[in-house]
Amino acid sequence: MNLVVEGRNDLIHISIEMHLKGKIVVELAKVSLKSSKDFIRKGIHSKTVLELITAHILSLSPISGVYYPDTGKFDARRKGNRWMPKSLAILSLGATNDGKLIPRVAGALKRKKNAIFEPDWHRITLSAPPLFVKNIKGGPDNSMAPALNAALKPFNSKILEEAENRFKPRNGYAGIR
Amino acid sequence: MLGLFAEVVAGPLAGLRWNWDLGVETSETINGESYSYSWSRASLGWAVSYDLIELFGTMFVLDLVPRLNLLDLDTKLPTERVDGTAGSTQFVLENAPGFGIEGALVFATPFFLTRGWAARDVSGIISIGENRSTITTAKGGLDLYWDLFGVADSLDFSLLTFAAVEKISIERDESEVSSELTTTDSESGSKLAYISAFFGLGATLRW
Repeated sequence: MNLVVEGRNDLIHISIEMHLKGKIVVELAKVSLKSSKDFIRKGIHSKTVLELITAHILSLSPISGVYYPDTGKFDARRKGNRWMPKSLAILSLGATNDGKLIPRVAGALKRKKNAIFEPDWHRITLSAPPLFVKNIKGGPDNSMAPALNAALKPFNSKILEEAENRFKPRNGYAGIR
Repeated sequence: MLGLFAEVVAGPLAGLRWNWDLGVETSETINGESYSYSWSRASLGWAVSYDLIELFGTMFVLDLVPRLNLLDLDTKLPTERVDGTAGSTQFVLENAPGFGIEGALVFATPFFLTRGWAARDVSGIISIGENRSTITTAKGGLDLYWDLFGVADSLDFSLLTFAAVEKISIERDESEVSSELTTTDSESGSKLAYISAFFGLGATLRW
């Protein structure tokens, strides 16, 4: 059983993938990051998008975490949100052939540039240990946190696929009045 | 008034501001005497931004922009002399250096970017050449940027609507002229005073 996280356009899909006489995929949640209006209407303003995703993941997986090496504050003039994570990794449990549970990366997503209003996420493979892993949930007593961190080390960064970038943060403006 | 402006908000030059304002020449003849008024000012500043508070999903940012400017002024206005008689005085400033500071509160809504601002500038304090006048401006206003459509892959076109209030004071180092004169848009005889208020439209390209 694997926890699968995929970015499709502006939605993050979270599902469980099971192999029981064939592949069975159960979608658990979809997190929309479509627009700022969605954020406001749903009470999910920019600062809490990450926490929302984290909450979903944490509630679904015994071991999980979110990797966001670069966050910042909102910059209205750029129309970009410096609070948004540029990348995140969803950690989960994997089972070995002998039945042992080991921590593994269920999915890693990277946001193209600083898109916020219509961000596009694309899957990446981690090739280096994340610089910062927050919201780690290493089991009931956190005893699996060291194993989780160790499991992150061998991965190498490589962009597997890129989605269309529909939004570009702005770097300045000029005008006449 | 006509103005050009540019602002860099990201990258190594983030904070750079450039403005060029032009007061188009206006002239009028009163009782056989011709009066005129024209000016232009270019300024270069650097914004220092402070995040104040986050409300409704957006950060309210305070910008403080110290700036240097160069002012040209060529105006002939009716003035009141120290002895109470009416006359006219020519004020001329050419490339007069000055400085100023602007404070602005910037925040975004789902529909437009809002910028409320106030500024004070002083030019002509340093006497260069024939410059003998000092001009002080205090003004404030509200700018709304409405994003309309993309012009190219990396360009957005915005409509700017703005309103502002401005007071201009001219002081000339000459004993026969009253120490401070205030310009006006309406003639009232020997001494003129007004507060200028204006609003208008603009266009912005965001890259």
